[in-house]
Amino acid sequence: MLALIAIFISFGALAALVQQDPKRARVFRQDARRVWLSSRALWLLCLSPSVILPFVAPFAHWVIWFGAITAGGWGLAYLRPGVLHRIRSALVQCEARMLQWRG
Amino acid sequence: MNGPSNQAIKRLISLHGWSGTVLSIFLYAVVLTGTVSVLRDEIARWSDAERHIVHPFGQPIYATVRRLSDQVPEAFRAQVRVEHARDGSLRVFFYEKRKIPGRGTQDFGRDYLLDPETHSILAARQGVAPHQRVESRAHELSHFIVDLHARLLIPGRLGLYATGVLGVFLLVAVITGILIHRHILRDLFVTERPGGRVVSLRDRHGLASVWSLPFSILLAFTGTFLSFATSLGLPIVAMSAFGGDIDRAFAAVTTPAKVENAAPADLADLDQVMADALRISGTYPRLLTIEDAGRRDARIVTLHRNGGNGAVRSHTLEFDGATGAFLRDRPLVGHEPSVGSATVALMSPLHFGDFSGLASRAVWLALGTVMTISVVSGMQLWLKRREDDPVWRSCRMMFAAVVWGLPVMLSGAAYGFFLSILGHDVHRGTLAGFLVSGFVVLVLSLRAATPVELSRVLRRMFAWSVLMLPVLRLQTGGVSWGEAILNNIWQVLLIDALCLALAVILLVQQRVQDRAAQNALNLAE
Repeated sequence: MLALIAIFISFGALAALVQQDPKRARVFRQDARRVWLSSRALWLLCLSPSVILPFVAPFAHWVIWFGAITAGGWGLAYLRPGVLHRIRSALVQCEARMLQWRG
Repeated sequence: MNGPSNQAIKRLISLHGWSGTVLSIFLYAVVLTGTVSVLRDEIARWSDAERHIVHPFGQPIYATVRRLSDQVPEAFRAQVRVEHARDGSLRVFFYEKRKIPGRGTQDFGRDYLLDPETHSILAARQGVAPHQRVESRAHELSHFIVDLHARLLIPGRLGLYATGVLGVFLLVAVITGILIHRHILRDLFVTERPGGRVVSLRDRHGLASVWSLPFSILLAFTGTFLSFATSLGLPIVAMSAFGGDIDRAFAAVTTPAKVENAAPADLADLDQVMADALRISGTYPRLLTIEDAGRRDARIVTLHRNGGNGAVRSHTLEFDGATGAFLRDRPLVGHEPSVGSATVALMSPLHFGDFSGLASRAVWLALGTVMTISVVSGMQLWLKRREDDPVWRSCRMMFAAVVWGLPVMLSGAAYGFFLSILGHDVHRGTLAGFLVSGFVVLVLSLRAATPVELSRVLRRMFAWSVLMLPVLRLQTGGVSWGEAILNNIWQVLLIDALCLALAVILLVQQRVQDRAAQNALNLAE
């Protein structure tokens, strides 16, 4: 459970870091994003479980957390900007078609 | 701070590229099959869910060991090894140490393979360390994948040498990769740019490699250790200090000296010892050894390979063989606790990722996937940069055949397994499925005009074959989803769901790519 909470916290911080990364925004010609927290604070939040977990949970939880944020970090960064928006649009379109089909 | 010079970076890039390129095909095979074999236990249950798989140490073993002990010659009764055999059966080996001319000290005795549930004898043989095995439908497919990963199907030590060398090459590629990548942190969130250009492939490779970096080092190091430790390291120690006697060298490294007491004593209750071992470590042991049974100084040692109780390292628990009292957590290597021994105890659990049930396996599966993407994208980048060279152009075709051909062949092995279930020889059937699908891939590769076309055909073939796997499993007598839910066989649902999800993702991805290509063509026209 502790590992799961740690993973959620780190994922949240990573998602914010991905969102406000300047090089990513430059490469994909995006407008400057709203900065919620400074990158340093987000990195601190993201990596804080690495210091806390060893004291409050068994070592296996720390390893799982580390592996999860490594693989999950790649997954978050791998998604191109706008992919989530496109998926949402596709789902909305699907829903509209289904409603149309039902009459 | 001054970084490496441009000249040095050029050399490092060359070393990085060649270390990956020379053996990239085999490296890809090892990484991909390693990723799949993370789910080996789930695949075993999925492939033969009808048979009730019982852990051999889940049943009382004391009475069985005593019964068998009465049947073997007295000379073999002192040393006993009770093991969870690779084919799922319970293995009981009664032996003595014998000097065999030209082979040093060997374990000579009688080996029994027992049904894990009923403990009835499946096979028995007498000889020098007889590594007999019984055919087990449930474990055949997963063993095939694990063998492909650990030995590339090469028999004997050569297979371990081959994968050990691949581990070293992977380590070289990782270390040189760190040195040549000047903006690791700055590029941490830059995903692949569209357009399929060199820079897109560089982004793809960089992203996957940087994120998987810690685990690439970890898995390459632990994999190399596991390949070389017993196949090369121990023989070298044996040759240099024990006159080539590997068994004596192993005993010297792992078995501590004890105060001799040859007074006769009954063997402690093994079931009580097993219960204590389970309580202390949190897992069933892989192996239980009895040293000097029947004497007052007898020892019972249980080896627990994977974590348990939140720990990651393996445990070796030592009990008094006469009273059954717990003595200590014995170091895996050496006679006293040390950093080296603690490190060795971490190797297997960290490599296999099975220290914390499904949670750690899921994470290892994801990490393996990222590593596979890193290896493939690295090779794609290398070939893209050399697409004007005719030699490298032909390599592109070969690489396309391997990248999508190997998954097709793995799926072919599963088809061979299921189709041969009715004919009973699943071992040959699995291998035949693998080879036949390999032949199909070869024919398709020879007929394909371009690597892109070949990738497209093989990807589609893989997607459809994986999509049909659950259907074939059902048609050859596998349990239905309803039965799986009722009997809590979640592994069937998990692997079936993974097959379906993988197929859907690949087919959708292919469709999107085809549409994009068609749009680009229309625009050009």
